[in-house]
Parts: sequence; structure tokens; C-alpha cells
Amino acid sequence: MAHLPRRSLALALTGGAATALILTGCASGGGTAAPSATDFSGVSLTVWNTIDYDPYQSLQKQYFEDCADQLGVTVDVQTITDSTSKYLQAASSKSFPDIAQLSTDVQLPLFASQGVLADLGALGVTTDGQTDSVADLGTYDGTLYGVTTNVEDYVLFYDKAAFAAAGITEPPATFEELVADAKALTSSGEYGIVLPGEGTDGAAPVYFLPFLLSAGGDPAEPTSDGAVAAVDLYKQLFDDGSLSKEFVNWGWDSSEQWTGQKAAIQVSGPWNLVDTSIPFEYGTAPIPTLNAGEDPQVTLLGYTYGVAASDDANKQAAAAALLQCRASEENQLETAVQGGYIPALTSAQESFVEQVPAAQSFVDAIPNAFNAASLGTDWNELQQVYVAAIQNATVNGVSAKDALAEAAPQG
Amino acid sequence: MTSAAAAARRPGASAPGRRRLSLTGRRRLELWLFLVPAAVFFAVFFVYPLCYGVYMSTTDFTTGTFITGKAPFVGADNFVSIFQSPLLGKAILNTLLITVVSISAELVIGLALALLFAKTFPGSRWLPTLILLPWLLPAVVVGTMWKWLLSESGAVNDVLAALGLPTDAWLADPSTALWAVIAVAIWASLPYWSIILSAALRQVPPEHLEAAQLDGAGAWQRLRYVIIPSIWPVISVLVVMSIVYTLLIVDLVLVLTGGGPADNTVTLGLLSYRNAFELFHFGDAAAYGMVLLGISLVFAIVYTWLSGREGAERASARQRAHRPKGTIR
Repeated sequence: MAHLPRRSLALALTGGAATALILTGCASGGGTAAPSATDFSGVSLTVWNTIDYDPYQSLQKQYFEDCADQLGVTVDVQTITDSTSKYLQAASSKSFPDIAQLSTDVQLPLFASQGVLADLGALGVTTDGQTDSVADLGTYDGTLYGVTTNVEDYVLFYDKAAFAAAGITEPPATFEELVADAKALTSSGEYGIVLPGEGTDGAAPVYFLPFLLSAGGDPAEPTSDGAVAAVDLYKQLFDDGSLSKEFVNWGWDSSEQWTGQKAAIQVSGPWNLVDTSIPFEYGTAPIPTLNAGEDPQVTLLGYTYGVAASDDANKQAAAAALLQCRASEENQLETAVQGGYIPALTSAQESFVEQVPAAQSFVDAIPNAFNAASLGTDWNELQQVYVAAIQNATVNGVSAKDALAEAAPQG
Repeated sequence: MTSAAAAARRPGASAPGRRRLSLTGRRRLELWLFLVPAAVFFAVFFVYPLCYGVYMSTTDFTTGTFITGKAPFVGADNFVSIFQSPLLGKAILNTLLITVVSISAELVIGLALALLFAKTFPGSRWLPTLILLPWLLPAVVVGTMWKWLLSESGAVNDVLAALGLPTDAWLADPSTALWAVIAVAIWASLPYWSIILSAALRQVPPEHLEAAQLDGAGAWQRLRYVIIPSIWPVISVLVVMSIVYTLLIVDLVLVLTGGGPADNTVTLGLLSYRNAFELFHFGDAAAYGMVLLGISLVFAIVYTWLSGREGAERASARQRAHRPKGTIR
């Protein structure tokens, strides 16, 4: 890490004069710490991170502490678990952290809508350098509430040796090809594909949505043709024996079936790109579409930092400056390479692909990606609807259409 | 001695204009003062949460409520909503099935283990301690461990395959998932039962057993007519506590199956959890909690009634036993 690059300074100058002064203090340092034009002395900030594993956890702490040193503020970086409950308790007791790492699909809309978060646009923060789909992750109702540092989307991962052994030369591009390939790849010791189908940890709906979107479905309409086609895809894979009947017990841990070579194909996020323990050569490919020649669409989730709304303008300005520093291209790239996330800045994405070529499929999908936050609080209920339909269609043998109709909210 | 006489003898107690308490009054006041800590504790930690749960179940309590403090009163809407849910019936049935089957099995197997531990055999000193270990494990650990053991490629299937028995993905098959959950619940609670019942068995008067044996009672008759009646108060308390504990089952189901496959293992506790922490419908979650409370209350009332009847029967039996021989009414 750890200095705010000059490019970020130029971007930030488009904001208010106060913020420009703040950033002058931070960014003049390609190594030298210039005297701070804005007095942040005595400002003490609390940061709550919600990702509780390394290297992400340690990197965030390091970024914030280095940036705090440059700005002359004191920072207390904590990692919390069970984050939504903790944030709700903090908000109700008026002790929301000055800077909060928030999920873009649930937490940012929730706290922005309740007036807990500060308008970052008014503090001079911009989303320049990000594609619209990434920039949208930090906004709620047209206002910027979050500085997004890293994003994640989803692609197919496949075992190249298993493909070669089955005589498959290209990764599947359509649902039909996926069903056929998965069947061909299934043997006594290995399933063709692994997908999560368990309903509590959030993996199943997140991995399902790209199939629904790539079938032309509208996530807000559980009985749309695209949703039926996507559930039917799961059903076919299950009925063929290409998908283990145990998939209903797997969430995020479903990836272990693929890394353990018990499944030849998986859908997963970018963290697998930097997993050096994967014992075989793999390739990545876009999510297949229902019809050949169509563009796939994936879900885009992100990690964004919000600033607590406060009457203390200086503290808010310091928090915004700290975030700008932490969100530098250098930091984003380092987190991506070490932690396996896609940088939010387009320029950092390009550098990431240079270092990790398999990330190309992830980056290509970002401009057209779907922001689940656009579903609002309905997304919580829709997740359960889709998981219930998938399980009912596969385990109970109900048709995809009936399973979705049964699971969808009535009225 | 009357309280008035006692008060009259107190020196300096007759200050004009000062109200005096009689001895009975003072004793009553002292008793109340001693009760205050317990009453405050009960009010703060039992009555208030319970009342707050009832309040939540009648409001539109959402995530925004934590921040704004506003929860509009909706009357019985939350209850209407959960009673319209197709999952409620399945959840009640599953909850009761898990409770009845697991407690019945825990009672029988726990008593068998306790009787075994009452005997002396190689390892009889350390085995009760060893068997306590599963009970010390958090439910999440138990669930995670058994999820692996019961998986298609898990150790349970390895053993079954070695014995030539059929194997399955026990937690993924709708016909076996609930029974697998019940089996794990039994495994997790069995140590508790066996240890408590072992302690209770030590209270059985040996002379009663010897007398029964001399009278020609076999092992089953000694168990039926001497041991079980002697430890019945312990068994009844264990059963009631376990019923309440098992009715609330959430964590084990959450880790093992998440309520699946296809909602075949949903319980009332799990639906409450889902509504609170996945859907953020805290009002509905509280309404599920109230349904659970109602079911628990039914068991508690039945237990209280049975205890009262049993107490009355025992008192009557004692009276008969102590009545002088030959007394006829």
C-alpha cells in the first residue's frame, strides 16, 4: 500500500474545497507527508470491517492505519462478525462506526434508507474511474453513500484435464451444452458440476441469479420464463445425476467439491483465482446462456465503505479522506492479487488481468452486470423463493414452473 | 404474644407522629425486602423480555425500527400472516416429532446407560466422564461434525457399506433427513440424560432393591416397581426441561440441513430464525416465538397438573400408611 495516488487527488478535487484541502495533505505523498492544510489533529475514527479472514482482514487494517498516519488521524480498525446485527445495534444506540464496511446488496440500502450514512458526494467523493455498474453499488436512490473498493461476480470454473478426458474442447456456452457436458463429465468418482443449493448462507441464490439473468429472466419476477428455464437447468442436471443430490446441503462450501476434484465444473467467484492450493489446471468461462449467441449476465456484489452521518463536519471530512486514501488503485490491486477480489477501479482491473489472466472472464462481465441492490428489501424474500423452488423441483421432482409458482409470494 | 404487646415493650418506639409497624408488619416488610432482588431479577430478565416479545409480535418490527424506534401496531396481522404460511403446519409437526421421538429415545437409552454405569466393569470409572464429552460440544460443532459424517462420502456410509448395508446421502434425502436430525439430537443430549439419571440411581435405597430381590422380583420388576418410582421426580423434571429445550431447536437444524431438503426439516424455531435474520421480519419472528411459547405452556400446564395430582396421591398414600391399624371409618 499505501499512499493516495495523484490520480485520485485530481478526482477528488472535483469535490468541495474542504475535501480538496484534506486530500492535499494525504496525497502529496508519493512518499513525503506534506503539512496538512486541514487540521485533523485529535480526530479519532473507528472502522468496522466485516471480512474476518486473511489476507483481506490484515490488508484492510494495514491500509487504514497507513492512511491514518498520513492524514494525522487516529484510527481504530476492528473486524466484526454477525455484521448486520452489530450494525443495527450500533445504529439504534447512536454508536455507528465512523467508517463501516457494508455489503452492497443488503446493508448499504438498509442503512442509507434510514439516514445512518453520510452523503459522500457532498464530501467530495466521486466514482470516477469506475464503470456505471460498479459505481451503482455505492449509491442508493441516486446518492453516493459508499466507496466501493472491490467487487465480485461469478463465472464457470472447469477442470481442463477432466474436459480433455471427456473429449470436450470448449467450455459450454449454452444451457443445453452445459447439461450435455456435465453428463459426459460425470463418472463414478466425479460429478459433472457442483452448485450450491442450501438456503441459509446466501450462496445458492447468488449463484443461481446469473443463470436466471442469462436466460433473460427478471429476478423480481419469480415466475418469469427466465426463472423457469434456470430452475429447469438445475432440475435437468440433478435428474441426469450430473449434480449430486447432496447439493441441497451445500452453500459456499460447495467449491470444496470442485477443488477436491469431486466435480468437474463449478460456478464461483474470483477468490479461486488466487487459490494456490488447487491441484489441477483449470479454465474459466462466462456463464452459459439459454440461447446461443446471447450475452450472459451475472450478479455484481461489492464491498463498500460508508461514513456515518454526523454533526461533526471535520470528522466526516477526515473519514472521507481516509476512505479515498484506502481506495487507491494500488491498494485495490494488492487486495485483488492477494485476496482474490476484482478491483472497483477499471484501471486496476486491467492491471489485475495482466497479472492474473484467468480474471478476464470476471472483468468482461462487469459492465453488463446486475446489481442485486436494485431489488431492494424484496431480495431477501426472493432469495428464499428461488432456493425453495430449486429444492422442490430437484428433490421432490416438481416441474420448474410449478415449483416457482408454489414458492412465489401469493398476491 | 400479640404484635401489639410486642410493640408496646419497644423502648423509644413511641415517638409522637411516627407511624409504627407491628412485629408482623415488620416481618412482612423484611420478607418483601428479601424478595426484592429476586423479583427485580425476574422482572428484568423474564417478564420484560417476554412482554417485549409479545409487543414485537403485534407490531411491524423491521430493521428500520432499530434505528427509528418506530414499530407500527398491527394487531394480529403477524399471526394471520404466519398462520397462512404453508410451512407452519409442517414446522409444528416436525417440531413435535423431533421433541417426542428424541426425548423418548433419550429417556430409554439414557436410563439404560445409567443402569450400565451403576455396575462395576472395566472402564466403569472413566466411561461416564468420556460419554459426557458430546454434551460439552457446542451445537454448531456437533452439527458440522455430523454433517460430514452423514454425507454421501462420510464415515457413516463407509461403515454401512463395509457391513453390506444400504447407504444414502442421509441429510439430502427427504425421507431420511428429519430422522437423521433426530438421531443427531439424541446423540447430542444423551450424555446429559445418562449423567443425571446415574446420579438419581445412586439415591435409590439399596435396601428396597434387596427387599424386592428377596421377594423374588426379577430385574425388570425391580426396574418397574422400585427404581423408576424412586427416580420418577428426576425423570419428570428432565422430561419437562428437555421438552422445552428441544421445542426451541434451531442451531442443530440450521447447520445440518438449513430446514431442507425442500423444507422437510423446518421447525418453528427455524422459521422464527429465518424471519428474524434472513427476512428481517422481526414481527413475524416474534409471532412464531409466541406459538412456541403457547406449545411450551401446554406442556408446562400438563406437567404442573400431573405433579399436583401425583403429590396429592403420595400424600394420601402416606396418610394411609401412617393410619393406626384397625382404624375404620
